[in-house]
Amino acid sequence: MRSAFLALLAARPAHGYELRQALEQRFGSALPPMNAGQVYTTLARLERDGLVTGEDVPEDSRQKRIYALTDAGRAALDEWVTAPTPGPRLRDEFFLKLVLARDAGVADPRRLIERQRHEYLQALRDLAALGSDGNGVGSLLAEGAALHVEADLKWLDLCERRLIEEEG
Amino acid sequence: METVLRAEGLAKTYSGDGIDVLALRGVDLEIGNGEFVAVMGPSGCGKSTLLHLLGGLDRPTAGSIELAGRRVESLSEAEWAVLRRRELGFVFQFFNLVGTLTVAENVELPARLVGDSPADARRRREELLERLGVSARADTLPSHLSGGQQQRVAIARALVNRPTVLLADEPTGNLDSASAAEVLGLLRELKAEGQTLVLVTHDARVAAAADRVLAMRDGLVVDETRLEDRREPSAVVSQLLRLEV
Repeated sequence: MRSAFLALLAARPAHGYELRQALEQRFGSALPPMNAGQVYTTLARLERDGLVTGEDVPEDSRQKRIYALTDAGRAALDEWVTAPTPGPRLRDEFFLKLVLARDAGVADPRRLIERQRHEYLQALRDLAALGSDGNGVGSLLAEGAALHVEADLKWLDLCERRLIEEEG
Repeated sequence: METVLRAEGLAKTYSGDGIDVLALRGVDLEIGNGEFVAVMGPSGCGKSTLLHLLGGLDRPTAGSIELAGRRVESLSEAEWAVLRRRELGFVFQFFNLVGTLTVAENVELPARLVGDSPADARRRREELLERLGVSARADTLPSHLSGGQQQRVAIARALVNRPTVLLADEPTGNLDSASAAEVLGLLRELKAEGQTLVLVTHDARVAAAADRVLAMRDGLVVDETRLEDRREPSAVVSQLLRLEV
Protein backbone atom coordinates (compact mmCIF):
# COMPACT_ATOMS: atom_id res chain seq x y z
CA MET A 1 0.00 0.00 0.00
CA ARG A 2 2.98 2.29 0.65
CA SER A 3 3.93 2.74 -3.00
CA ALA A 4 0.32 3.14 -4.08
CA PHE A 5 -0.08 6.01 -1.61
CA LEU A 6 3.14 7.66 -2.77
CA ALA A 7 1.87 7.47 -6.36
CA LEU A 8 -1.45 9.08 -5.42
CA LEU A 9 0.27 11.82 -3.41
CA ALA A 10 2.49 12.65 -6.40
CA ALA A 11 -0.61 14.17 -8.02
CA ARG A 12 -1.70 16.25 -5.01
CA PRO A 13 -1.68 16.23 -1.22
CA ALA A 14 -4.56 14.33 0.33
CA HIS A 15 -5.81 12.93 3.60
CA GLY A 16 -6.12 9.25 4.42
CA TYR A 17 -9.75 8.81 3.56
CA GLU A 18 -9.28 10.43 0.14
CA LEU A 19 -6.40 8.08 -0.64
CA ARG A 20 -8.41 5.04 0.26
CA GLN A 21 -11.35 6.26 -1.80
CA ALA A 22 -9.16 7.00 -4.81
CA LEU A 23 -7.78 3.45 -4.82
CA GLU A 24 -11.22 1.93 -4.41
CA GLN A 25 -12.61 4.01 -7.26
CA ARG A 26 -9.77 3.09 -9.58
CA PHE A 27 -9.59 -0.64 -8.94
CA GLY A 28 -12.93 -1.52 -7.38
CA SER A 29 -13.38 -5.11 -6.31
CA ALA A 30 -9.88 -6.01 -7.50
CA LEU A 31 -8.55 -4.57 -4.25
CA PRO A 32 -8.62 -6.46 -1.01
CA PRO A 33 -10.78 -4.61 1.49
CA MET A 34 -8.76 -1.93 3.34
CA ASN A 35 -9.59 -0.86 6.84
CA ALA A 36 -9.03 2.62 8.19
CA GLY A 37 -6.47 1.35 10.68
CA GLN A 38 -4.23 -0.03 7.89
CA VAL A 39 -4.47 3.24 5.99
CA TYR A 40 -3.43 5.38 8.96
CA THR A 41 -0.68 3.01 10.09
CA THR A 42 0.78 3.06 6.58
CA LEU A 43 0.67 6.86 6.43
CA ALA A 44 2.24 7.18 9.88
CA ARG A 45 5.11 4.93 8.80
CA LEU A 46 5.62 6.88 5.58
CA GLU A 47 5.80 10.05 7.66
CA ARG A 48 8.22 8.50 10.15
CA ASP A 49 10.46 7.43 7.24
CA GLY A 50 10.43 10.97 5.84
CA LEU A 51 8.68 10.05 2.60
CA VAL A 52 5.63 12.21 3.30
CA THR A 53 4.89 15.16 5.58
CA GLY A 54 1.66 15.50 7.50
CA GLU A 55 -0.04 18.71 8.45
CA ASP A 56 -3.16 19.04 10.61
CA VAL A 57 -5.77 21.21 8.96
CA PRO A 58 -9.03 22.13 10.65
CA GLU A 59 -12.05 21.03 8.67
CA ASP A 60 -15.59 21.49 9.99
CA SER A 61 -15.18 20.98 13.72
CA ARG A 62 -12.41 18.38 13.34
CA GLN A 63 -8.77 18.15 12.44
CA LYS A 64 -7.69 16.40 9.24
CA ARG A 65 -4.14 15.40 8.55
CA ILE A 66 -3.18 16.24 4.99
CA TYR A 67 -0.19 14.37 3.61
CA ALA A 68 2.22 15.57 0.93
CA LEU A 69 5.08 13.85 -0.87
CA THR A 70 8.64 14.84 0.15
CA ASP A 71 11.69 14.72 -2.17
CA ALA A 72 12.70 11.45 -0.55
CA GLY A 73 9.16 10.19 -1.15
CA ARG A 74 9.41 11.19 -4.79
CA ALA A 75 12.71 9.31 -5.11
CA ALA A 76 11.18 6.21 -3.48
CA LEU A 77 8.23 6.43 -5.87
CA ASP A 78 10.52 6.73 -8.90
CA GLU A 79 12.42 3.69 -7.73
CA TRP A 80 9.20 1.67 -7.33
CA VAL A 81 7.83 2.75 -10.69
CA THR A 82 10.96 2.07 -12.70
CA ALA A 83 12.11 -1.15 -11.00
CA PRO A 84 11.17 -4.31 -12.91
CA THR A 85 8.28 -6.09 -11.21
CA PRO A 86 8.83 -9.74 -10.26
CA GLY A 87 6.83 -12.03 -12.59
CA PRO A 88 3.84 -14.03 -11.44
CA ARG A 89 4.90 -16.78 -9.12
CA LEU A 90 3.82 -20.32 -9.79
CA ARG A 91 1.97 -20.32 -6.49
CA ASP A 92 0.62 -23.63 -7.44
CA GLU A 93 -0.75 -25.73 -4.68
CA PHE A 94 -2.30 -27.91 -7.34
CA PHE A 95 1.09 -29.01 -8.64
CA LEU A 96 2.15 -30.00 -5.15
CA LYS A 97 -1.08 -31.95 -4.73
CA LEU A 98 -0.75 -33.64 -8.09
CA VAL A 99 2.80 -34.85 -7.61
CA LEU A 100 2.43 -35.91 -3.98
CA ALA A 101 -0.97 -37.55 -4.39
CA ARG A 102 0.30 -39.47 -7.37
CA ASP A 103 3.46 -40.60 -5.61
CA ALA A 104 1.47 -41.67 -2.55
CA GLY A 105 -1.13 -43.39 -4.70
CA VAL A 106 -3.97 -41.66 -2.85
CA ALA A 107 -5.69 -40.20 -5.93
CA ASP A 108 -5.93 -40.81 -9.65
CA PRO A 109 -3.82 -38.02 -11.15
CA ARG A 110 -5.94 -38.06 -14.30
CA ARG A 111 -9.05 -37.23 -12.25
CA LEU A 112 -7.17 -34.49 -10.41
CA ILE A 113 -6.15 -32.91 -13.70
CA GLU A 114 -9.67 -33.19 -15.08
CA ARG A 115 -11.15 -31.53 -12.03
CA GLN A 116 -8.63 -28.73 -12.22
CA ARG A 117 -9.36 -28.29 -15.93
CA HIS A 118 -13.09 -27.89 -15.16
CA GLU A 119 -12.18 -25.20 -12.65
CA TYR A 120 -10.03 -23.29 -15.13
CA LEU A 121 -12.58 -23.51 -17.97
CA GLN A 122 -15.27 -22.14 -15.69
CA ALA A 123 -12.82 -19.42 -14.60
CA LEU A 124 -12.36 -18.43 -18.26
CA ARG A 125 -16.13 -18.31 -18.63
CA ASP A 126 -16.44 -16.06 -15.54
CA LEU A 127 -13.65 -13.82 -16.80
CA ALA A 128 -15.26 -13.43 -20.22
CA ALA A 129 -18.38 -12.13 -18.48
CA LEU A 130 -16.36 -9.76 -16.30
CA GLY A 131 -14.31 -8.58 -19.27
CA SER A 132 -17.40 -7.59 -21.23
CA ASP A 133 -18.62 -5.30 -18.45
CA GLY A 134 -17.16 -2.29 -20.19
CA ASN A 135 -15.18 -0.90 -17.25
CA GLY A 136 -11.81 -0.15 -18.88
CA VAL A 137 -9.44 -0.97 -16.02
CA GLY A 138 -11.56 -3.92 -14.89
CA SER A 139 -11.78 -5.54 -18.32
CA LEU A 140 -8.05 -5.12 -18.84
CA LEU A 141 -7.40 -6.88 -15.56
CA ALA A 142 -9.86 -9.63 -16.51
CA GLU A 143 -8.04 -10.04 -19.83
CA GLY A 144 -4.72 -10.41 -18.01
CA ALA A 145 -6.24 -13.00 -15.71
CA ALA A 146 -7.69 -14.91 -18.69
CA LEU A 147 -4.26 -15.09 -20.33
CA HIS A 148 -2.89 -16.58 -17.11
CA VAL A 149 -5.69 -19.15 -16.98
CA GLU A 150 -5.02 -20.11 -20.60
CA ALA A 151 -1.39 -20.69 -19.69
CA ASP A 152 -2.48 -22.78 -16.69
CA LEU A 153 -4.65 -24.92 -18.97
CA LYS A 154 -1.72 -25.50 -21.32
CA TRP A 155 0.38 -26.42 -18.35
CA LEU A 156 -2.23 -28.96 -17.22
CA ASP A 157 -1.99 -30.59 -20.67
CA LEU A 158 1.75 -30.75 -20.23
CA CYS A 159 1.41 -32.25 -16.74
CA GLU A 160 -0.95 -34.86 -18.15
CA ARG A 161 1.47 -35.80 -20.91
CA ARG A 162 4.60 -35.87 -18.80
CA LEU A 163 3.29 -37.33 -15.56
CA ILE A 164 0.70 -39.76 -16.82
CA GLU A 165 1.27 -40.74 -20.40
CA GLU A 166 5.05 -40.78 -20.46
CA GLU A 167 5.85 -42.01 -16.98
CA GLY A 168 2.77 -44.23 -16.83
CA MET B 1 -34.20 -30.35 -24.62
CA GLU B 2 -34.90 -32.03 -27.91
CA THR B 3 -31.94 -34.00 -29.27
CA VAL B 4 -30.96 -32.87 -32.76
CA LEU B 5 -27.81 -34.90 -33.21
CA ARG B 6 -27.08 -38.25 -31.67
CA ALA B 7 -24.21 -40.69 -32.14
CA GLU B 8 -23.86 -44.14 -30.66
CA GLY B 9 -20.79 -46.33 -30.66
CA LEU B 10 -19.24 -44.22 -33.37
CA ALA B 11 -15.97 -45.74 -34.58
CA LYS B 12 -13.59 -45.10 -37.42
CA THR B 13 -10.62 -47.15 -38.48
CA TYR B 14 -8.32 -45.94 -41.22
CA SER B 15 -6.57 -48.73 -43.05
CA GLY B 16 -3.49 -48.32 -45.16
CA ASP B 17 -0.16 -50.03 -45.75
CA GLY B 18 -1.47 -53.04 -43.89
CA ILE B 19 -1.82 -51.02 -40.68
CA ASP B 20 -5.14 -50.18 -39.07
CA VAL B 21 -5.34 -46.88 -37.25
CA LEU B 22 -8.22 -46.63 -34.78
CA ALA B 23 -9.07 -42.94 -35.02
CA LEU B 24 -12.33 -43.26 -33.13
CA ARG B 25 -13.08 -46.13 -30.76
CA GLY B 26 -16.74 -45.85 -29.83
CA VAL B 27 -18.13 -42.40 -29.09
CA ASP B 28 -21.62 -41.77 -27.73
CA LEU B 29 -22.93 -38.26 -28.03
CA GLU B 30 -26.18 -36.36 -27.72
CA ILE B 31 -26.51 -32.75 -28.77
CA GLY B 32 -29.63 -30.90 -27.72
CA ASN B 33 -31.38 -28.27 -29.79
CA GLY B 34 -29.70 -24.92 -29.16
CA GLU B 35 -26.79 -26.48 -27.34
CA PHE B 36 -23.18 -25.37 -27.82
CA VAL B 37 -20.72 -28.22 -27.43
CA ALA B 38 -16.95 -27.87 -27.75
CA VAL B 39 -14.60 -30.81 -28.25
CA MET B 40 -11.00 -30.49 -27.09
CA GLY B 41 -8.04 -32.79 -27.09
CA PRO B 42 -4.48 -33.15 -28.35
CA SER B 43 -3.69 -33.60 -32.04
CA GLY B 44 -4.56 -37.09 -33.17
CA CYS B 45 -7.15 -37.72 -30.43
CA GLY B 46 -9.89 -38.17 -33.03
CA LYS B 47 -11.77 -34.92 -32.57
CA SER B 48 -11.66 -33.86 -36.21
CA THR B 49 -12.60 -37.38 -37.28
CA LEU B 50 -15.62 -37.16 -34.98
CA LEU B 51 -16.68 -33.85 -36.52
CA HIS B 52 -16.23 -35.20 -40.04
CA LEU B 53 -18.35 -38.25 -39.28
CA LEU B 54 -21.08 -36.14 -37.68
CA GLY B 55 -21.13 -33.95 -40.77
CA GLY B 56 -21.10 -36.80 -43.26
CA LEU B 57 -17.73 -35.76 -44.68
CA ASP B 58 -16.51 -39.26 -43.89
CA ARG B 59 -18.24 -42.58 -43.12
CA PRO B 60 -18.01 -44.45 -39.81
CA THR B 61 -16.65 -47.98 -39.58
CA ALA B 62 -19.25 -48.72 -36.92
CA GLY B 63 -21.98 -47.00 -34.96
CA SER B 64 -25.01 -44.88 -35.72
CA ILE B 65 -25.76 -41.21 -36.30
CA GLU B 66 -29.16 -39.58 -36.01
CA LEU B 67 -29.60 -36.05 -37.35
CA ALA B 68 -32.87 -34.19 -36.83
CA GLY B 69 -34.62 -37.48 -36.04
CA ARG B 70 -33.29 -39.40 -39.02
CA ARG B 71 -30.74 -42.25 -39.14
CA VAL B 72 -28.09 -41.08 -41.53
CA GLU B 73 -24.95 -43.18 -41.14
CA SER B 74 -25.65 -45.35 -44.15
CA LEU B 75 -26.92 -42.70 -46.53
CA SER B 76 -25.35 -42.61 -49.97
CA GLU B 77 -22.95 -39.85 -50.92
CA ALA B 78 -25.69 -38.12 -52.93
CA GLU B 79 -28.18 -38.29 -50.07
CA TRP B 80 -25.58 -36.92 -47.68
CA ALA B 81 -24.84 -34.06 -50.05
CA VAL B 82 -28.47 -32.98 -49.94
CA LEU B 83 -28.73 -33.42 -46.18
CA ARG B 84 -25.53 -31.49 -45.54
CA ARG B 85 -26.74 -28.52 -47.52
CA ARG B 86 -30.08 -28.39 -45.75
CA GLU B 87 -29.29 -29.35 -42.20
CA LEU B 88 -25.64 -28.55 -41.60
CA GLY B 89 -23.32 -25.60 -41.83
CA PHE B 90 -19.55 -26.08 -41.88
CA VAL B 91 -16.82 -23.71 -40.80
CA PHE B 92 -13.20 -24.74 -41.28
CA GLN B 93 -9.87 -23.56 -39.95
CA PHE B 94 -8.69 -22.41 -43.38
CA PHE B 95 -12.03 -20.86 -44.39
CA ASN B 96 -12.39 -22.97 -47.59
CA LEU B 97 -14.04 -20.18 -49.56
CA VAL B 98 -14.20 -20.60 -53.33
CA GLY B 99 -11.35 -18.39 -54.54
CA THR B 100 -12.83 -17.61 -57.95
CA LEU B 101 -16.20 -16.45 -56.57
CA THR B 102 -16.89 -13.12 -54.88
CA VAL B 103 -17.81 -12.91 -51.23
CA ALA B 104 -21.49 -12.52 -52.19
CA GLU B 105 -21.39 -15.50 -54.54
CA ASN B 106 -19.70 -17.65 -51.92
CA VAL B 107 -22.43 -16.93 -49.39
CA GLU B 108 -25.27 -17.40 -51.87
CA LEU B 109 -23.90 -20.63 -53.28
CA PRO B 110 -25.39 -23.07 -50.73
CA ALA B 111 -28.78 -21.35 -51.02
CA ARG B 112 -28.73 -21.66 -54.80
CA LEU B 113 -27.67 -25.31 -54.52
CA VAL B 114 -30.81 -26.15 -52.54
CA GLY B 115 -32.91 -24.45 -55.20
CA ASP B 116 -33.70 -21.11 -53.57
CA SER B 117 -34.52 -18.28 -55.95
CA PRO B 118 -31.75 -15.78 -56.72
CA ALA B 119 -33.82 -13.09 -54.95
CA ASP B 120 -34.16 -15.14 -51.74
CA ALA B 121 -30.50 -16.09 -51.77
CA ARG B 122 -29.52 -12.48 -52.30
CA ARG B 123 -31.73 -11.21 -49.51
CA ARG B 124 -30.34 -13.66 -46.98
CA ARG B 125 -26.78 -13.04 -48.13
CA GLU B 126 -27.28 -9.30 -47.66
CA GLU B 127 -28.71 -9.79 -44.17
CA LEU B 128 -25.86 -12.06 -43.10
CA LEU B 129 -23.03 -9.99 -44.52
CA GLU B 130 -24.51 -6.90 -42.93
CA ARG B 131 -24.76 -8.61 -39.62
CA LEU B 132 -21.24 -10.01 -39.77
CA GLY B 133 -19.86 -6.61 -40.73
CA VAL B 134 -18.52 -7.58 -44.15
CA SER B 135 -21.23 -6.19 -46.44
CA ALA B 136 -18.85 -3.59 -47.87
CA ARG B 137 -16.73 -6.47 -49.24
CA ALA B 138 -19.56 -8.29 -51.02
CA ASP B 139 -18.04 -7.90 -54.50
CA THR B 140 -14.48 -8.68 -53.45
CA LEU B 141 -12.65 -11.95 -53.99
CA PRO B 142 -11.89 -13.80 -50.73
CA SER B 143 -8.13 -13.50 -51.26
CA HIS B 144 -8.40 -9.74 -50.80
CA LEU B 145 -9.84 -10.10 -47.29
CA SER B 146 -8.05 -10.54 -43.98
CA GLY B 147 -8.26 -13.92 -42.25
CA GLY B 148 -10.84 -12.65 -39.79
CA GLN B 149 -13.02 -11.28 -42.60
CA GLN B 150 -12.72 -14.51 -44.57
CA GLN B 151 -13.82 -16.50 -41.53
CA ARG B 152 -16.82 -14.23 -41.06
CA VAL B 153 -17.75 -14.77 -44.70
CA ALA B 154 -17.36 -18.52 -44.17
CA ILE B 155 -19.69 -18.32 -41.17
CA ALA B 156 -22.23 -16.37 -43.25
CA ARG B 157 -22.02 -19.08 -45.90
CA ALA B 158 -22.50 -21.79 -43.26
CA LEU B 159 -25.60 -20.03 -41.93
CA VAL B 160 -27.29 -19.13 -45.20
CA ASN B 161 -29.52 -22.22 -45.26
CA ARG B 162 -30.40 -21.87 -41.56
CA PRO B 163 -28.73 -25.13 -40.57
CA THR B 164 -30.00 -27.32 -37.76
CA VAL B 165 -26.41 -27.70 -36.57
CA LEU B 166 -23.36 -25.55 -37.24
CA LEU B 167 -20.19 -27.65 -37.21
CA ALA B 168 -16.84 -25.90 -36.90
CA ASP B 169 -13.32 -27.32 -37.02
CA GLU B 170 -10.84 -24.97 -35.29
CA PRO B 171 -12.70 -21.83 -36.37
CA THR B 172 -10.14 -19.54 -34.70
CA GLY B 173 -7.12 -21.77 -35.34
CA ASN B 174 -5.75 -19.63 -38.14
CA LEU B 175 -6.62 -16.18 -36.80
CA ASP B 176 -4.72 -13.55 -34.84
CA SER B 177 -6.06 -12.91 -31.36
CA ALA B 178 -8.14 -9.85 -32.29
CA SER B 179 -9.87 -11.69 -35.16
CA ALA B 180 -10.29 -14.77 -32.98
CA ALA B 181 -12.02 -12.61 -30.36
CA GLU B 182 -14.40 -11.28 -33.04
CA VAL B 183 -15.26 -14.76 -34.26
CA LEU B 184 -15.75 -15.88 -30.67
CA GLY B 185 -18.11 -12.95 -30.06
CA LEU B 186 -20.07 -14.05 -33.09
CA LEU B 187 -20.30 -17.64 -31.90
CA ARG B 188 -21.63 -16.39 -28.56
CA GLU B 189 -24.28 -14.35 -30.33
CA LEU B 190 -25.33 -17.32 -32.43
CA LYS B 191 -25.61 -19.44 -29.33
CA ALA B 192 -27.72 -16.76 -27.64
CA GLU B 193 -30.05 -16.88 -30.64
CA GLY B 194 -30.49 -20.61 -30.21
CA GLN B 195 -28.18 -21.90 -32.94
CA THR B 196 -26.94 -25.42 -32.19
CA LEU B 197 -23.14 -25.45 -32.38
CA VAL B 198 -20.62 -28.26 -32.29
CA LEU B 199 -17.02 -27.30 -32.61
CA VAL B 200 -13.58 -28.73 -32.28
CA THR B 201 -11.00 -26.37 -30.87
CA HIS B 202 -7.63 -25.94 -29.23
CA ASP B 203 -8.66 -22.49 -28.10
CA ALA B 204 -9.70 -22.60 -24.44
CA ARG B 205 -11.47 -19.25 -24.69
CA VAL B 206 -13.69 -20.60 -27.44
CA ALA B 207 -14.37 -23.76 -25.45
CA ALA B 208 -15.21 -21.68 -22.37
CA ALA B 209 -18.14 -20.15 -24.25
CA ALA B 210 -19.75 -23.59 -24.69
CA ASP B 211 -22.41 -25.26 -22.55
CA ARG B 212 -20.35 -28.45 -22.48
CA VAL B 213 -16.72 -29.20 -23.19
CA LEU B 214 -15.85 -32.77 -24.13
CA ALA B 215 -12.29 -33.96 -23.66
CA MET B 216 -11.05 -36.59 -26.10
CA ARG B 217 -8.03 -38.86 -25.78
CA ASP B 218 -7.06 -41.73 -28.10
CA GLY B 219 -10.34 -41.91 -29.96
CA LEU B 220 -12.60 -41.73 -26.91
CA VAL B 221 -14.48 -39.05 -25.02
CA VAL B 222 -12.92 -39.31 -21.56
CA ASP B 223 -14.34 -36.32 -19.72
CA GLU B 224 -17.04 -33.72 -19.87
CA THR B 225 -17.24 -30.26 -18.29
CA ARG B 226 -20.53 -28.39 -17.97
CA LEU B 227 -20.08 -24.63 -17.88
CA GLU B 228 -22.50 -22.04 -16.66
CA ASP B 229 -22.98 -18.30 -16.52
CA ARG B 230 -22.65 -17.35 -12.90
CA ARG B 231 -23.22 -14.23 -10.92
CA GLU B 232 -20.34 -14.81 -8.57
CA PRO B 233 -16.95 -15.54 -10.12
CA SER B 234 -15.11 -18.64 -8.94
CA ALA B 235 -12.44 -18.63 -6.24
CA VAL B 236 -9.80 -18.98 -8.94
CA VAL B 237 -11.03 -15.77 -10.55
CA SER B 238 -11.37 -13.77 -7.35
CA GLN B 239 -7.83 -14.72 -6.48
CA LEU B 240 -6.51 -13.74 -9.89
CA LEU B 241 -8.25 -10.40 -9.78
CA ARG B 242 -7.01 -9.57 -6.33
CA LEU B 243 -4.38 -6.84 -6.58
CA GLU B 244 -1.81 -6.66 -3.86
CA VAL B 245 -1.17 -3.15 -2.64
